[in-house]
Amino acid sequence: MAPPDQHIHPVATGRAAETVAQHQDPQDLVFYAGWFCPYVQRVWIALEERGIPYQYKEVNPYKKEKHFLDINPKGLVPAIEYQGKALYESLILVEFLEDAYPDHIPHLLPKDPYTRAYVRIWVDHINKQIVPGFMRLIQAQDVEKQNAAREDLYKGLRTLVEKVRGPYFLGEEFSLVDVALAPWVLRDYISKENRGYSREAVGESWVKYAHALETRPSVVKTQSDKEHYAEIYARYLRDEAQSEAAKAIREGRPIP
Amino acid sequence: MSIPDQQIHPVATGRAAETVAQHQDPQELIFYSGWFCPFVQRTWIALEERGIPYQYKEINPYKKEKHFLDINPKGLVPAIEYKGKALYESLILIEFLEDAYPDYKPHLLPTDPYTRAYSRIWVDHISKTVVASFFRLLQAQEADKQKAALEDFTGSLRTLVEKVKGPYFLGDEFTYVDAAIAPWVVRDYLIQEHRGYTREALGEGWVKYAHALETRESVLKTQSDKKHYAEIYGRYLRDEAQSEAAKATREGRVIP
Repeated sequence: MAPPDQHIHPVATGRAAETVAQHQDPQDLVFYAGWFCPYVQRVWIALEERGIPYQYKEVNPYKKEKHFLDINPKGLVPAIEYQGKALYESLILVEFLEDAYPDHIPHLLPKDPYTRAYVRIWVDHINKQIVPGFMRLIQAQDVEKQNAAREDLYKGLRTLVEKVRGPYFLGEEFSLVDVALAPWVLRDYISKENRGYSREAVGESWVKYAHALETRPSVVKTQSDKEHYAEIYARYLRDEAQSEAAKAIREGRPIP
Repeated sequence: MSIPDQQIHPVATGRAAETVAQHQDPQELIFYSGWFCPFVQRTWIALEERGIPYQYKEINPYKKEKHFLDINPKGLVPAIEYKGKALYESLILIEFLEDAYPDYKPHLLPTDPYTRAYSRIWVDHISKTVVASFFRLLQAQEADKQKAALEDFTGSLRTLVEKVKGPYFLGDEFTYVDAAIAPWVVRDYLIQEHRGYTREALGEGWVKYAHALETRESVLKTQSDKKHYAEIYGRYLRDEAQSEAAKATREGRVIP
């Protein structure tokens, strides 16, 4: 029996489809993506922010092609092929792009060592608290668990938003913290419609910050039409999703 | 009733005590440490490898001092105070030391962007799979859970050791990946004595690599006398430990 998640719309749509079409020429850097994946979107946002040339290749995570698995046995997206060698892990890829493309502006990490570490600390908070917080809320089945998950998520978001200088995390400059978080902000309508979440409940500054993130051009350009996400997220809402992230949340392990 | 983990030997002993004694003078960088903590040891190893001047301050994580909490409200170790501002997270601190002390050799991260990202990928593997499964194994109480955790743990090491060039991960140079895993290698006697783990079961490559790590000078210099670890790890073995890592493992959450 095919895993339920195999019936995913096969290609990006909407604004993302335009972006995909603009990145079909062979380049030094091949970007392996799943159009719907929030981790992919982090790297995609970074590529778009920094104007780095890339060739976009769609990978169906549940039907992986041989060449992709040959260079990237772990088989996860996002991944890149750079001068024939593979790298993966969304945040490691964004940091790689900083190191490998020093002349493409803007940079997403500040040069000052302290602020660089400070950014990484808050990215780590997003990864450890906020992303799992959203996922646990979506995948929770009984009301008590949903309520607990929602309160945890709100706490994590409030802790973060206290540090937001506005409009973006560090102030005027869009940085890695914003990149790391934006894909989940875009998907928070799922929690709103199904799990009683609201941005207002977190606070006015969260409403403002979330809006700033979701209207950033690089974020808008990497979004597909909302209707195509519904089928995927329906499985998460029933806790039947088979992605590595979903399974990890279900089993109480770190998201790979 | 006092929290069980409060009865910890209060200071470093053995070789670590000598190292502590050599780092009592005020410096630009204050290193907040718990002598027994493996996450602390990662950063401590990095400081020692690179010869960076630091002032060592012992923090009892279960009786935190006011100044420490003032600058570092999250209150975890390892942490540093650098020019009056706090940073934390063991790996973020190692990366900070790379950025803030560019002239101190050796470097722990390669300068080549690809190899830098490659190192970060394997450090990420260590944190997400090796360390996480180590704690699960230590804290598992029932035989079937211990067996599953042991398989997870040895599986994660097998994946890693395939990539070790020898004597260290990248070859001749001791680097980031080695610092990230060494503290768990020096604690593996706990799972040898109590959970049926052996280095030999992983093959000669692992035995050699583990030996190279545990005999590295920076690792030896940051190790206290074995007997003082016993009381702490006794609690982990009974799944009664109250550290953030222990609680997260128990609850199926990511280690903060």
